Amino acid sequence: MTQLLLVDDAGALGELFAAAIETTLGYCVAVAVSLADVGERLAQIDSLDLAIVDLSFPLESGTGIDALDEIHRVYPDASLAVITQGDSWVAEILRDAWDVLPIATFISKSAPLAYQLKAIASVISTGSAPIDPAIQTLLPARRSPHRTASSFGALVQHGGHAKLWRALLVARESSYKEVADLSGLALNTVKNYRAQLLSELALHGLHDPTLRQMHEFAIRCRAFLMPFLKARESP
Amino acid sequence: MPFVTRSVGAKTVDRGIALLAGRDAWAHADQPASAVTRMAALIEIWGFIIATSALWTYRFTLPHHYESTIIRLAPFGFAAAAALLTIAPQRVARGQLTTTRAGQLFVLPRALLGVTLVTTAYSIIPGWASLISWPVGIALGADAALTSWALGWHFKPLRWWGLFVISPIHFGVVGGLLGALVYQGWDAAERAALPIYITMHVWVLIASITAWWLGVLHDQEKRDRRRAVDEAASLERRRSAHWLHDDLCAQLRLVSITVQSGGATMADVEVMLDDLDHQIRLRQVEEIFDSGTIRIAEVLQPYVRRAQNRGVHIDSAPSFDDASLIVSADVGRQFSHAAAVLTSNAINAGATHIAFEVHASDEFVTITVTDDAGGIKFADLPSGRSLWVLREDLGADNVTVSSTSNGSRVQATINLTHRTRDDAVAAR
Repeated sequence: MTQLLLVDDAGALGELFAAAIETTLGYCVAVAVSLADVGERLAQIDSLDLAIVDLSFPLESGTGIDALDEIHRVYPDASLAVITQGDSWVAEILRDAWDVLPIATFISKSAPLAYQLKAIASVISTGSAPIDPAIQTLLPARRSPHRTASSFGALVQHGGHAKLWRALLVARESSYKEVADLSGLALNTVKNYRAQLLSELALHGLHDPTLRQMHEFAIRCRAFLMPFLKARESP
Repeated sequence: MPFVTRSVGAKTVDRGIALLAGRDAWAHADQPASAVTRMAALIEIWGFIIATSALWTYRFTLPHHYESTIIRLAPFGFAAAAALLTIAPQRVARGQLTTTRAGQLFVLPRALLGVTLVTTAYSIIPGWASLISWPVGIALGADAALTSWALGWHFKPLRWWGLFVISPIHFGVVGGLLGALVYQGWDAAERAALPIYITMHVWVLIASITAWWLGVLHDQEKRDRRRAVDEAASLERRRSAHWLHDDLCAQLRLVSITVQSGGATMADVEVMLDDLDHQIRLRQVEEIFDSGTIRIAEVLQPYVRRAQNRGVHIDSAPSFDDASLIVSADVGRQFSHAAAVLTSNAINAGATHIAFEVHASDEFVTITVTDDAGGIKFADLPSGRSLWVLREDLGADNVTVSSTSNGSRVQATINLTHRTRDDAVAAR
């Protein structure tokens, strides 16, 4: 039986949508209502054909990208779809997901139910579906060839860069002083490491970013940075 | 919580070097100078001007002191060093944004300028008269305050004097003073070395007081700004509460009463809820307008959704590459008006397929809506119709209608005359 996983923090809506999928399309749908639940749900299912993931989890520290990345690591052959309101505050997360992960389609939460179900059925049968027109306006016509999961390795070229990103991930003000204190790096070293990464950051759309912009980028793309941070920090 | 700790000594040296590098090494281009920041920059400039004036006044008052060529050049050296050190604060005072460069690029030149300042000052005014160079302390204090703010360092300058007393620089000076005392006797030391020592302390003390006072003002400014933000947020919350009550709840009540009275089918309820959804989307766009700028994609999105929810098949919608232009709220509202008219026009005419296109340049942005709902002609439009009003608003040449094989293609062009580099950026 076709197995789906729906990750959406709008609990009642998620259950209703899952029921509609099960009734109309005959698929089996597991529902995770938080990012923390994703691992547990993945452990409960034997296979996965499609994961449909919301991007915005305002009550949690992560985003849908964390869930998509986790699902992709556990079930690399499963199709991935994003379901979202497509509001402006998730636009950058949308573009990160679009560029880096093999997203089969983007579904608008406000689209008619029949349209949503048709997109899901299309992904299951053909592997993809047209991007919802309301979401299309937020996505580039083509994926950036420079932004891949491995391209994040260039942002962590050595252990010093790992310290910088670790500090940026937990920084609150993202000032040079705070990042230096958190990382144990000298102020000028923080500045030099930032300068070393400028050309790589430009490939991710960050042109001469401030430390605050780097902090926001690190939070958004934590899932993609983390493997390289761990690799650089291991003895 | 810090996950790596460094020794206090290493931090002190690190921050000393950072202060020596100056504000330009740490400030970001997206950090516009606040009023207090600009005032600190002006105070730094003022300190250097007053110190230079005092030294030149002394030089003209007592010309017999200037016997050697090097000493005769000293006032020029001081003036040149002071002038170079005021370049950065002049940019801050004018509100020019800074592009950060590597910190070490600034350390050596600024250190050389500092040494030039000190040596030329004492060459021009030997002895106790060197105390008239005290405004240099004000300039240095303002410079340190500006740098620490750019670093995000909430420093305590009144501790500086204490740190200075126990610093190697101070011990070196004290050693030199004692050497002069031993080898040249008290009179010579009192005449030459002691004034330098005291003047140095005066500079550090005045710099500390200046930086502390500016820090107090800077903190007060931050508190005032936070209070203003809180007040604006409170006002916004009240506005949202009114909207929730007056518009959203009223609309929900309308749906509820219609359902309870049995006067509506499920399809009617669906349409009413879609209308409500559209109103909420437009309200979101209004909120973004209030921020001053908006992306064309954000303006267009509610109308694409509306057409989709009305059962219209969207043949194409612009990608982010075409709709990423950021425009001022004025232009955004005009674009929103055009999108609303063109979409409603197509839906009301019975379109089942709609294609949206957006094209932008530095001078204009156009929206084109192509539908399959038969054709329209401007000549047939009665005055007062929305399309006729749009044409009046944008100009006759800026709204064009052409026929397709099964419908029409309406294009509206909005000129970007209101767009400025400051409030609208082509961020594609």
